[in-house]
Amino acid sequence: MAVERVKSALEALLLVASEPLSPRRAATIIGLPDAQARTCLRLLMDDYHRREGGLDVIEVGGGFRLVTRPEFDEFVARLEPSRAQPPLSPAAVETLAIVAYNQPQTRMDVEGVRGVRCEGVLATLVDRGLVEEVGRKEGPGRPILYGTTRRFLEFFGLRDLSDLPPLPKATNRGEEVG
Amino acid sequence: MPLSLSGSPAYTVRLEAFEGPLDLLLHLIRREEMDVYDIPIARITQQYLEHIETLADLDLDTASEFLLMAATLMDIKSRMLLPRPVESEFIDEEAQADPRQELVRRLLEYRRYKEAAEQLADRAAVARRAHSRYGGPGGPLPPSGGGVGQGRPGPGEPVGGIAGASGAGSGEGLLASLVSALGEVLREFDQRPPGEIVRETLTVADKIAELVSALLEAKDRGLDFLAFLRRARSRRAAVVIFLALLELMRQGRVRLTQERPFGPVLVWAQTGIEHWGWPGRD
Repeated sequence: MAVERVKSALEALLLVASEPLSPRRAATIIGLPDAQARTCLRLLMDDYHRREGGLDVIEVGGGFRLVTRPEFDEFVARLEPSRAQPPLSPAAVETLAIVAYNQPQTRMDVEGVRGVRCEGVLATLVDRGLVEEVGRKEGPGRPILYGTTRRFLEFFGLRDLSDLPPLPKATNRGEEVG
Repeated sequence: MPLSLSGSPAYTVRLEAFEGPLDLLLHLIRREEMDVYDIPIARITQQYLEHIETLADLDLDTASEFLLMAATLMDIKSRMLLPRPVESEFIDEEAQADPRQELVRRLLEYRRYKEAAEQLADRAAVARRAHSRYGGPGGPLPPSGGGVGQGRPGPGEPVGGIAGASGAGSGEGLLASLVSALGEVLREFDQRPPGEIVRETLTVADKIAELVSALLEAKDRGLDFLAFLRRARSRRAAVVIFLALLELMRQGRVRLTQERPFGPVLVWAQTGIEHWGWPGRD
């Protein structure tokens, strides 16, 4: 298939997809090698970036999404107020940061860093699909281990975990530690 | 805890100015411009205890972690007062270590994640504005979710978000400044010689009315809250005025600003403030 046609097919898929479209999935659907699907998705993304219209294609959560541009968020919110998502509480974001950078983590691991109980916050985060149970730690009590989800990546606009901003260093009077 | 001072129906207000004792300590360290690697333990213990005591004066539940930290600080302080053992192979390492060391380690580690969280929050703020056909980032909200920080807190819910808090610093810094202001005024009262007993009504509703008048009068320049608190005629009155402000905040009737971190807090009336509701009812 010619590149332009592939891009058009991908564009159609992006509109209909209900989660970020991974190159692999796209490749399977259209019948292409993964690498070609990825290249064409990137080219499509470039086209949209350049176009500066009301829509854009972004890469998040291990795939690609067709989205509205942030500058029109206000109008979107007026059209469909239910789409406006309230921000997470600082406690929730701190908890997410600890889990994200160190996963998997137990509740006690998180509480050790924050210095407060985290049961409620973790329950909320599981509820909102940002964190999930990924296993159990060996040892007394076999506590639950938590990890971040793909929804977490989307929520923060991250391509994948390596896209996390670097953790600020803990300096010890000028020397770097940790 | 019920609002025992006033004649109003009992309701609970939770004031979450900080995410925990480590967060409060970092705030105090920044405010007092202390060196985190060489914390003046006596001074920070005093500041910390004053803050906790002010919360207690408001009859607010202090989470146990805050009290535990108070005990930890006092323990460190007492260990610092003991003479340091001479270095010797007979004395274990722990006895020779700086008693503040573990606390500093915890503070620094917490701070890393607090900063990381702030960066992530910035990214979420941008990502949130990108909508696709199926919903916002991460898909549509689950049916139970979405209540975090949105709308007006009901009774018993934390008064954490401040409508339109602007200026330097976050909402938390602003609340902390309010609590500090109250603490200052209460300590001033404690130092005054006992004067005549003033008979005055002390219901939250009455103080709300007074506060609303003052706010409407200061509509164009904002009301300096600390100055207003100082006009209280008794310690109890100061506490009730503070609670009146919290109630107005809970109802979304006021806006708070702070031009610089740790600076004076100004309160502004929102349109329609005259229609404030009775405390405790929605």
